[in-house]
Amino acid sequence: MLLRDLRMADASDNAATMDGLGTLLGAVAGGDQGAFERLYRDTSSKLFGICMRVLGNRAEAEEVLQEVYVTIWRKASQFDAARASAMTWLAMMTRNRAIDRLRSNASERTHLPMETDDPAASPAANLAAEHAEDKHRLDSCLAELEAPRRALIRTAFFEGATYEELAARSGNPLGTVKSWIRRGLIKLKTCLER
Amino acid sequence: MNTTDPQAGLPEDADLAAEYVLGVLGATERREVEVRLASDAALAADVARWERHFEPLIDQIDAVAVNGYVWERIRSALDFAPAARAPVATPDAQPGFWSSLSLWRALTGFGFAATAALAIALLGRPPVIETPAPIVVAPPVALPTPRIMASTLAHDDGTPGYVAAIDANTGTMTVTPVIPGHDDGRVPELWLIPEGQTALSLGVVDRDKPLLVTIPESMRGGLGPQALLAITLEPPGGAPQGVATGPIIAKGAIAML
Repeated sequence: MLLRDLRMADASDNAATMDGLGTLLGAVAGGDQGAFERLYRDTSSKLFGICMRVLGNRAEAEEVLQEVYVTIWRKASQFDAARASAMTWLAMMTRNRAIDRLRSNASERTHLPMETDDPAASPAANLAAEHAEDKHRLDSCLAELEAPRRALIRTAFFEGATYEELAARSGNPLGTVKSWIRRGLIKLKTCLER
Repeated sequence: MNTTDPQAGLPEDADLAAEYVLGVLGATERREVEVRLASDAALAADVARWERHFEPLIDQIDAVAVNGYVWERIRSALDFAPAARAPVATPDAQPGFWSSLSLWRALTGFGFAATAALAIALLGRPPVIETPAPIVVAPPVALPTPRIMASTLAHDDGTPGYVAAIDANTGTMTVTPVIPGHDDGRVPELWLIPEGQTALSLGVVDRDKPLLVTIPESMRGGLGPQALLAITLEPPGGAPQGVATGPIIAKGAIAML
């Protein structure tokens, strides 16, 4: 079904899908246009959601999405399955492009509210066991942080907000925000890697 | 903690990889990291590790349907042969229909004028005769004056959600979603709201393809510039007892052409 296809990768990635994407990327690296089309169909709505979340502007998000898929076509061979899952590689590349685009805009978003905790946003449907475990670990490690620090980290991740923007939006001094986030990251790392 | 000095009380070495992945660095620092990543294997490994750490949060980002013209732009940027159709179309969708998404993009961009043009294109012509064209065609005579109307049903943020083209003589209306919507278990239902009256249901419409709606004769009198069209989200099967229960997701006035 059309809509189901569009929503693919929406928390329903299972191990088979992940492997499927890796295989598709391999075929794309070999210049297979059909595989590229399939990859686009399977991943574009998710990647577009990432662009929209960071940029909040459909036209800009579409431009970034276009850049991303042009890059995927040209650099699919750089995907290293030993280092990241295909979806992680695609999602993080997309996020980086979107953040770079955001930085190239002068526009400030200091008026937006901070991200709040959203436990409802984790339906965790049929996640592969390992993936679910990663998710659980991140959730529980984030939960160990104090709420304001967690909100800062979530906002930074979802929207690519700079220290300066986070300071303005949360109404805290820049130094405080930097310190909270940096200490939060250290705690998070200790928790995640223990 | 001293909060007036930005550098006060900070860890000696900020975790650059973590800050990069989290997205808090400014443009210059980001570029520096990206340049270093090409040659600094340790940094690249740290970035990859943080990307894996944060990856579960990606699951919390909703997918958003992409307009079909984006795929066409990508193909053209890559010098692929012209596409027959956008890949979002599936075999059970009407083949070729969404390949004309550039048309819907035009609607999005040009709003009402394009809606009007579409209305004329769809309805402002004599009925198509499905037999082979004869050499000589008598000019059509005594066709009723077309009463063509159009409406752009916009979301609250002003973006067009559906476009409707109406032939008030025949009560025929096409209702077309500008961007295929997400299926969340509820169904979009179309309402005609004549001036000063309660909403009349015109039935359930489609989220992802155009639908031909026949307006019952008894309702056609309500069509006109004073009337509104609206879409609400209703339980599967449509609003119980013909009364809207869900939120209005798009609405628009009806314009005579």
